[in-house]
Amino acid sequence: MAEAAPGAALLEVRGLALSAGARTLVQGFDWHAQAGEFWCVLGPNGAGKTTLLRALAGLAPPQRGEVRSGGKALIDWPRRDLAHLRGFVAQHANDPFDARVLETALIGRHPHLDPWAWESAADVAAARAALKRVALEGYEQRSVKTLSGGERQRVSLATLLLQDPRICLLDEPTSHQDVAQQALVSRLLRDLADEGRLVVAVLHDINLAAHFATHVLLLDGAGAVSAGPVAQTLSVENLARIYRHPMQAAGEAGRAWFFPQL
Amino acid sequence: MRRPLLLWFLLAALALVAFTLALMSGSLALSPATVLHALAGGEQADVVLRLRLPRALAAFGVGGALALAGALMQALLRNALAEPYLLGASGGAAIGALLAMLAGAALAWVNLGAAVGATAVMGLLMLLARRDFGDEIAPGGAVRLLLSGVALAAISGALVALILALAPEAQLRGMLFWLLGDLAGVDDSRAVWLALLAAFLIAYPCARSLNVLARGDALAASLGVNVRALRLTAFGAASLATAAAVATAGTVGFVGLVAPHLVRLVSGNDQRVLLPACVLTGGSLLLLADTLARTVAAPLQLPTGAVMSLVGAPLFLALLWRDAHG
Repeated sequence: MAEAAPGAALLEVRGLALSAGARTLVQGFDWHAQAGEFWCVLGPNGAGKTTLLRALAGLAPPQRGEVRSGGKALIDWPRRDLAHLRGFVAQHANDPFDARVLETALIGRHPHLDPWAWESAADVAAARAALKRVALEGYEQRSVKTLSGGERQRVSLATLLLQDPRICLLDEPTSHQDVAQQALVSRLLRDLADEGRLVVAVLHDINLAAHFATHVLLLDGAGAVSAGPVAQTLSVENLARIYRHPMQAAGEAGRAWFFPQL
Repeated sequence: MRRPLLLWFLLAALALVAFTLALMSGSLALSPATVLHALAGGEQADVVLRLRLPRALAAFGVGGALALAGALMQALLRNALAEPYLLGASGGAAIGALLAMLAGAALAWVNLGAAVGATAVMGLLMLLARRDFGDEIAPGGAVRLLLSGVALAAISGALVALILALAPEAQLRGMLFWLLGDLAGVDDSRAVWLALLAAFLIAYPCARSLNVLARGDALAASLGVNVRALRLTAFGAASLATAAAVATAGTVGFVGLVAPHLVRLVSGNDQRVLLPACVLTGGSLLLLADTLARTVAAPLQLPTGAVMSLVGAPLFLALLWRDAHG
């Protein structure tokens, strides 16, 4: 895996078009993002945030256009290399069979292990460290079926940490978290970006985005996408336009709080 | 990794006990020492080598194949209720076997009919659900696959009922025994052992990928698993094992559903531990059930499949509830 030149895009989108049934969600979308950035995707319900994230992960082929990294479309990447490049955390975890928390986190090591290898002591140590990082220390032997929604979501986050990808894509990682854990998870995502990864996360909380993200992607659900640094793009006007609801801000510019008008 | 080795060793010991019991029991009870002598070609070699050993091998092979297929189906469909026959294999096999019986064919043709029927239905299902195999992430793909299998099974079940209704009285008993799963008269188990070995060798290298697949298509795909190829491989291996098992012994139920759950109670759901353990557990269970089936009401021989469910289900319930209360 070749290191990208400084400043070169780690993830690049050209002429992307996405639709759901007859509805156009995104059209003619060009975008690129560098390592070290934390992009937050905002938009109304059904605007295509998840669809966009899946396309960025190379999990679903776009109707038109392509998603590229390292000068190559994601669909042309070998699967294993792609698993080292980008990780994806879905909105809901799926546990048809019971398993321990530690075991579930260790799933993230899959692309790093040789076909016949079992997880090593070093992998287990890394898993314990990852669980500690998502505030689940002492949960190692718990069954995933006994976890609350928020705890299970953070196990998925630990799985992502063990996958250790350069691009982290997360679909609503804070949706089941209490306020303290929302701050912890958002801080963790910002740290991942500061470590030199690219983080793209769908969040519903505008203020978490305002305080932790470096950039925002605003989807209006009708084809248009506004992308840019938080300071310029996250404005009352833009938010009111995409949510089709009057918005207001409090506090000084750059540390503003956003509220819907009630 | 010590625990799976210990578990596998204990299950292998269980298999050995099951085989010893099977070779000892029958109208002529033999001591373990006599059985050993007989295996070496000594006294009673005829009874042990010609009569009991082939049937024991068949029972173990069928049980192991069904348990392996069950574990694969459960991982593939992400459903704890999945079993080898869920996707219509038993119905297809029954149509093939019963048609062969209706035509008055010899046992070999009945077996072949069952294998062809099972393969045909599973092939048809694969054709119907090719989108769910083909598309990396078809939303609801696993559910549609499952429902398609249930619908095909309903059609096969109706056809089986028609054949039974139209069959001459004299053939009904044989057909009924076949449907219940029966090992009487089975003396050649090479096909099921070969299929079991092949299915295991195909499936085992995918065991860790199956662990990932069990947690969702999107996660599996993002961790580098080729979801489509893995589904096809697991389904292919399960189909092979199931077709060979029904062709050998008819539709023996329960063992394919329950052996994986029994193992899970002890080992968790790591497929690398589970798959070999399932083969040993399923084989031992069916061998014990078959030994019971041919001795408990001797000289009457009961259908193996019925005994398997009759003894296995209460045992399973007891374990399940002990676990829930404990």
